[in-house]
Amino acid sequence: MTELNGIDVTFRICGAAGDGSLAAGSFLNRAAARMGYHIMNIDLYPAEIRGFGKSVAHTRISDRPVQTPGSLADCLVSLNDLHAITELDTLAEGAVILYDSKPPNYVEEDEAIAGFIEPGMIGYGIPLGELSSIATKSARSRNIVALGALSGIFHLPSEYLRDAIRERFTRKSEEIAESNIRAFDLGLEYANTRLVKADAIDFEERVPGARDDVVIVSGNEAVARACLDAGVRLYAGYPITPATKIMEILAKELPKQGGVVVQTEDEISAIGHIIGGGFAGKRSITATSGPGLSLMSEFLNLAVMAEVPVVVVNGQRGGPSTGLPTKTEQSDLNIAVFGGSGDSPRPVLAPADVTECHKLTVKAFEVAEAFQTPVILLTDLFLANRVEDITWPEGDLAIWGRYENRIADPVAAEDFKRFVITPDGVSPRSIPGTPGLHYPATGLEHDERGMPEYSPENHLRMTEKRYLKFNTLRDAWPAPVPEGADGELDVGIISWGSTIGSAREALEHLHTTDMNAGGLFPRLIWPLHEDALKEFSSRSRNLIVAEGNYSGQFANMVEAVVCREVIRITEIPAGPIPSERIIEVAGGLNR
Amino acid sequence: MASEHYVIIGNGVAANAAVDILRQGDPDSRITVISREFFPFYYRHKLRFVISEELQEDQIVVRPPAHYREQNIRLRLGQEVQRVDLKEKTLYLKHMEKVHFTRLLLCCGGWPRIPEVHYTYRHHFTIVKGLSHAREFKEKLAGVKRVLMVGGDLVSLRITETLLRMGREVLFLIDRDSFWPLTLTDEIRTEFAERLTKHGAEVLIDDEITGIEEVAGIEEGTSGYEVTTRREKRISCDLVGAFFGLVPNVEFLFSSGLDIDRGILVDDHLQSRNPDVYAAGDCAQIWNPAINNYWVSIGWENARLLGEVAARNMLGESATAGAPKESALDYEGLKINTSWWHIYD
Amino acid sequence: MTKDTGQSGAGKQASGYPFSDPSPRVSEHPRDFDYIRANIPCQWACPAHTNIPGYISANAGGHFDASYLINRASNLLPGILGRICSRPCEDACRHGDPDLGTSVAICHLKRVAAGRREEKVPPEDLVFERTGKTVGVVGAGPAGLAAAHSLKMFGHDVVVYEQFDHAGGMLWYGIPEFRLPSAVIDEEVGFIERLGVQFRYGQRLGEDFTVADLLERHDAVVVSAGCTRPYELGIPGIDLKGLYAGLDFMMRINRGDIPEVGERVIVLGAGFTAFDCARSALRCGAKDVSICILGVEELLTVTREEVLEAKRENIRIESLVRSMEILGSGAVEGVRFARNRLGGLDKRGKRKTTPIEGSEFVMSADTVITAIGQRPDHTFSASGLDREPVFDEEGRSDVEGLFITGDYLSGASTVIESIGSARKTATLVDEHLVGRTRRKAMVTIDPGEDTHRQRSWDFIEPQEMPLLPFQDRFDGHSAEVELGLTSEQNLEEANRCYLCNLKYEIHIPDCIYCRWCIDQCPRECIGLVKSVESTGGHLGTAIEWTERWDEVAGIVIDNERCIRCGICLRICPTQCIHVRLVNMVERMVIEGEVDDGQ
Repeated sequence: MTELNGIDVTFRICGAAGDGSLAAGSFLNRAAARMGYHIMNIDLYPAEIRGFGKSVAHTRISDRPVQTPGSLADCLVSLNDLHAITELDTLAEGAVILYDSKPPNYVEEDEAIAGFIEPGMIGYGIPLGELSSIATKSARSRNIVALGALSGIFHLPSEYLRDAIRERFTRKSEEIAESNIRAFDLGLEYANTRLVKADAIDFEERVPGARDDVVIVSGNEAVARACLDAGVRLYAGYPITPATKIMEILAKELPKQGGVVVQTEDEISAIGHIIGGGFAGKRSITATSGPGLSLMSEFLNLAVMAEVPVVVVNGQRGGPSTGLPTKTEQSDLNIAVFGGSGDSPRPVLAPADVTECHKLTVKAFEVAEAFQTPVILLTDLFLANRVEDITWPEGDLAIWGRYENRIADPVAAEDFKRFVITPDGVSPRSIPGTPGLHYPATGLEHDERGMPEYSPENHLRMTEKRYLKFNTLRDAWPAPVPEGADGELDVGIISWGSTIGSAREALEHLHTTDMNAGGLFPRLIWPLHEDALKEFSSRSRNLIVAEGNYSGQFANMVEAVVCREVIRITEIPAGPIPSERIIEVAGGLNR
Repeated sequence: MASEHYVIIGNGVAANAAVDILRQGDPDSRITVISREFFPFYYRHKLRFVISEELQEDQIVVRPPAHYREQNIRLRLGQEVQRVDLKEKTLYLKHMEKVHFTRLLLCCGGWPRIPEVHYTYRHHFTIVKGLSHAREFKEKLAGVKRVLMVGGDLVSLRITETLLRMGREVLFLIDRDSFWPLTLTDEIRTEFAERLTKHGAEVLIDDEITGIEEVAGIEEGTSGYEVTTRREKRISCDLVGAFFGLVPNVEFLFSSGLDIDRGILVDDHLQSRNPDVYAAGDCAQIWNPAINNYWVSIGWENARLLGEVAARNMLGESATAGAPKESALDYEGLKINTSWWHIYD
Repeated sequence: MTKDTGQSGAGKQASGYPFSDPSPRVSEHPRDFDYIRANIPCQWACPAHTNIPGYISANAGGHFDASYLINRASNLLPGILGRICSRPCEDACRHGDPDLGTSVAICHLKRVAAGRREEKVPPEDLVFERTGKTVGVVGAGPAGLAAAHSLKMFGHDVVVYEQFDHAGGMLWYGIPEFRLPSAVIDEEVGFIERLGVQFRYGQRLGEDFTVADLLERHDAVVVSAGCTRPYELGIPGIDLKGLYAGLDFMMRINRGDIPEVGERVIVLGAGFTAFDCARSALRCGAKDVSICILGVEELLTVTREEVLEAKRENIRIESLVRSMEILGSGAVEGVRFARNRLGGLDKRGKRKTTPIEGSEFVMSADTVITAIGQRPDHTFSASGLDREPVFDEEGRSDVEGLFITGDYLSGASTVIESIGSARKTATLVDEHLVGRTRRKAMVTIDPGEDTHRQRSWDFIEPQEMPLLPFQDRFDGHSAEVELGLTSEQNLEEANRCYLCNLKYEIHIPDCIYCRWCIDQCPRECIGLVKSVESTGGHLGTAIEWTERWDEVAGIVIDNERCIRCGICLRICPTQCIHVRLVNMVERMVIEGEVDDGQ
């Protein structure tokens, strides 16, 4: 949506796998962020590793911070017409379509996007393939030619884009870099000399000013960077979309810091490894997705029972089972919270954006250590893969509380009770190898020393202790602060994880209407801050819970707390829930 | 019977008249209209008001795209047919898409004629045919004081009027190709000149361009032209408007197997050599016994009638084109036939 | 680069895959000629089968002498043909296929080779020993010259009898100097003379000698007397002053005897001669020239360039008109025409026209030139004989040693067709004289290599022929209008050629099915196949495509779609894509050289 008073343009670069649409998107992101724009990008790609499926780079560029990638595109770049035609209904009014005006072969009726361009859209035909061939002797740089054309059409300062291209290709070779720059320049020149500008998008007018401290990162990259920042020593994992990227980065970076990355034979082994690491007092983490989390269920219980600090990142995707490996969803909340056998409490955190992926990962280690528990960090495919411009967080993360690693004092080591009952439920733990502080750690119910003990009394005491820790955490973690209007609300919107962006954007919009709207967005999903929820609910005439799953997993939890029926926006559109949807629901409510 | 797919090339008055008849007569058929212009069907004669900014572009629209959607007609605007394969009944579009038809109606109209003698410097000419030309003309006019008009046809007279009203100097060069396809007698030529002069245009008679050179224009970044003539005149101007009439736009039909002379040769049912292909409007060349000559239509009313006749015949009726009604442009007492032009005069 | 399959130990594949043997081959198998027809359409379309990709790649490399020789080996008169050839090759050129753009300007490139070569006299060794036989050739037109040249190369002594005082025939007398300068004719005819062919000028068959005389004098006689009898209009008024027959008109101009021409000229006719007459009339001082044709402009056989140039010179083309009567008393005053309607096809496959009743009208003119063509005068070949000989389609007669060729055999055709025809006839004559075939068309298949042709060259715009400025054209008749491509243009235009004589093949045993080539191929000409079968010959294959992996037996390049961009070759990680250089050549036969392609 282009607004008169600013730049807010959403691009969709669509191609078949191998057309380079994603690469083009990444150059665009990088350049736009360097210019000082805010960006949000999400790549949509096929499930198959190699295939001819659709892949789309979706990028929103704005001069204000962006909460969502936006649902309607202002500009569609077609690198593959058959796929791009299916994107036509995602176009905003007056959208620009950029296409290859001279593909090498004739296609059948209705297989060329140029055939669908009509008044109300703006079509720019560019001989992408031809120009690419001229520049790089092959059609592989059509994406780069398209970028050049975008730069020409929308007056996107070309130097930033050239830099982004050069940076990427110089790694391969100087020659490849130069030929790609040539491809870019040909596209630019073609747009400048052969196209008549018919749209109103103009970046040059208002470049917000270059920023140097900005980085372009995805949720996964933020998690990986947080691992490095938090001093992780062990990563063990088994590849799975969308979590693999975390392992890829750590495999490269962690050994440089003296850490270890193990690719295990499966997810069971992975969590086994990190429980070992956590038991040994080293920060240990694994990352997986729904199917992997299922496999880890039993070992998670071990970590609960043996009170071992580990962090499990779960990038949610469509399920059940293998499900929709490349589509986002927020449907692993139940297994994360309730997936244990027995009474098996484990904290669950869910970041709202890329910056929070970093912050909450760091926080997850603190919580895991302070409360001697496995912590599950719920991201999702959309959050894991989406790219934002951020500055690396520095300093204090106290808004989410302060936590200390309680280590037993070796001097008072006589009769070491590893699981001693304390007022807050947390028992000082020892690091294996500390003289006198050894103890048995097993999955069996145990007494304070860790020795197996099955009496109902003991079981009750120890279960209470484990839940007590949990309450301590809830008290230590500051309650979520309501956003938006104070006082009585026409509508209160509760959301979690990556849907928070859409909810916030909806709030922004609702504030421009006469509707009193507010939001409550917990990051600590379990244990819930029940009082905060109740308070918010009591102020809200209508209470909406918005989340990306079918069964309303969070709504169920909220309803149990607030004891009223909430209005559910529980959708699985194979992408993020658009803010327009929330606005629509909120707008239709009785006040 | 399998449902028909009528494809109409062109989106002018002939095409639209035909489309109405076709939709009415065959409600379930597929109809596709393909037009080179990326603009809905509009009144061509009002283009000069767009140039003078007396009208906005949307004010000259006859039918918006929504009309076609309502009628279940696929409107392809800004798309150019490059080749017609009659055997396969396939159109090949410039953007490399194929469109298959069962019956084809050619209403591809005319295109500004540039006499071959002027080929060397044709790129210096500004023409006015479609809306995009009008836009371009309007844009260029911003930095223009003096316009040279060469050739001369109905459009040029109107544009001259408009330009003079807009305060531009107009120099009109009437050469041997002027008012093609009419042959001007010296007498009529002189009369034209007098009337143009009366309106405030400067007129040069019986001379012709022998060269055009681009030079820097009066304003920075604009360009002007130095024109030399057979009589060794040097004319400085900021824009050269070429108005040599229209010729049927049929080049893309070469080697398609249709009979192409100046226009598409059709019988008086407007059927071409191929029974599934018809032509109507300014692109059709029709033998008319009444005037004992081939004729090519000029003007809105003729085109509309021809469009209707073609459509009726495509639906299986038997309508004939008949003789065009004679009508004339009255340019201050000088009558010019605006109904048709003969191929040979 | 090609990879030697020998290294991989693959050798000949048991699978029967036909392309595994990279060694040079020569074949006469009909299937291999089929391959040429489908894959090198320009060469096939050329009546003399000029090796077009061969000379264009020589042009691209700046090897103009080589290019000239490649041309000359087939068409004998590259400098002449490079200007006035009817260019059937360009209609066939694959670059002109509907989705591939515009044909390569093959003819213009030929002219570049002729103009820029450095060796002023092409080296030419007689291949065969002198036979001691002699041949008489009647007519020094293109066919006579080509026949004489070939026969001389076979080792025979050749005498050419020419009625006029100059060799070249229609080249010299029929084509205006502004299209074909006489110096170019003299030079290339001179090469033939230099070879030892004797020319007797001013010798007119039937007047100065007879066929019977020649049969006595020579071991064989070839009559290539061309088409000299003009078709007649058969309408009233043909004896008026100011009426010219086209060929006479041109001959007078070319002799320097400039005919008188009025202000308004009407040319009746639609061929090259009509256009030559019209453009020459302008140079004689005419102000207003029209070419009146029976049919429509689109169906003209002259090149589009020629039509455009005539129009630029302000010549009008009046279509769909038939002359009914030349009007005037004493001198021409005009022509009464009827308008035509296009009808069906005639016997020769040309569109018929019929006049429309009551449509007559008059166009005034002071000069009318009829250029409606000529036909052979077959009384010539009987001169001095006691009966009229009977000829077969190839020009053999039932009179021992008598042959006819060129337009005299086929009726009016083009220069290149005449040359093609005469070369065939020469082979027959030689066969007659020595008793065996000593020149044959063959297909050679050699290892090739990557030409480093770039895909971007496919998008080079066709180069426009530089032209003489208007004001300099009309002073006399000799200012050549087309100036020839510049060397930069030569390179650009030559680079446009796909070089269809290359054949890209995938050596399947080395292929790992990564399909990079399929992904990168701009023409979708590479695909997975269910079966590949050799259809005989070295080159032909029957391909059955598939997209189902369970059926895939191989991966193949469809050379009929392939535009020889070379991307597959360069991207292939296993270098399993090979290039073959396939040429159709005429070879002097040395026994045992040809394998039969099996």
